Amino acid sequence: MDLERLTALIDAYGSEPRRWPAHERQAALTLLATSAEAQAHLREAAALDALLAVKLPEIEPSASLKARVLAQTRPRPVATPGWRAQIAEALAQLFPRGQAMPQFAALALALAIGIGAGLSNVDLGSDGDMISYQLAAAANPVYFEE
Amino acid sequence: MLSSLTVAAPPPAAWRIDMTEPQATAPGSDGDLMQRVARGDHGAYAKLVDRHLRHAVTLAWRVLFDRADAEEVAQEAFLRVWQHAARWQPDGSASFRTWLNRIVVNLCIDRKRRPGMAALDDQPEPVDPQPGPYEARLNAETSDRVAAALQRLPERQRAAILLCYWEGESNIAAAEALGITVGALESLLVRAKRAMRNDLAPDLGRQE
Repeated sequence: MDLERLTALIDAYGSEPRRWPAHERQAALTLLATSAEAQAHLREAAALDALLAVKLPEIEPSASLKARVLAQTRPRPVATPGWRAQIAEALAQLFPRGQAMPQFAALALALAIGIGAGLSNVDLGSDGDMISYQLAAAANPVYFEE
Repeated sequence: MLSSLTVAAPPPAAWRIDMTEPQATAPGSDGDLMQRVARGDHGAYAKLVDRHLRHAVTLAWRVLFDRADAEEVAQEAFLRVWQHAARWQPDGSASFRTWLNRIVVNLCIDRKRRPGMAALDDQPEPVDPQPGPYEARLNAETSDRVAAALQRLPERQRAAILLCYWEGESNIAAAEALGITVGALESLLVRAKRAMRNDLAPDLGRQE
């Protein structure tokens, strides 16, 4: 950083260091602290900056503009995410700052549902009885001859 | 010319969960709404319009100083928001506002590139132009004089100083919005401020 560059920064970005490029800011401040010429240049820039700090007029959109902006697009059925994404999203809402927790929780929930379904006593009904009968008859045809 | 009959095709479906930046997609945030818009959620789009339409029109008007043009630009900008929502990255460096600013400024600059329009920086400095309806109502308020000085700048210089001073954009974001290098942005800013300093000399004199 030299005086020429510091002057260029002040001319372009003004007197407030927060507007200066981040990677040059510290070097510029260091030079500024020791350069009376740069400090004088900064004061001149601050006068213009004070004028540029005014609030500019704002424009209220016309009544019809919002209607046009909405009408130019058409609603469509919202894409429904898969069940994994839905669970992950729900868990992410519950743990908004978590990184891995929602994913582990989703995995644990899926495992629990799978194990529960596997251990449950599934009633196959009459079809199940018929399948059992046919299997037994095939294995022991002697006992099932008619 | 955009019209109310123009109906855009829905955006491509996109579904993405980003749990690394929860603040960027907190429920109701711009990021959350953009993710929903990317999935075709028209209600989320309407909320973004409610939240940012006034800003988009105002920024376009400050660059173009023409209300009808500014409204067309704002309308086109939101059409692009709808169509390209999936491209916006909630975990990137650009906020939705910065992204919208970029779209609006690009559209403003593009309008001036149309056939029949003068090249932006080739425009001669106006020589004591006849006061228009806006200038006619200027009074002693400093903000009006600053706005009038802005109006006399070429569009690219005006856009550069608007983005860096009033929109608070970084030099990199402002340069990207204008499609130029940071060095070129600095050149625009120096020329813009030199012109405004001359224009506002009486006000600067009063400060000292």
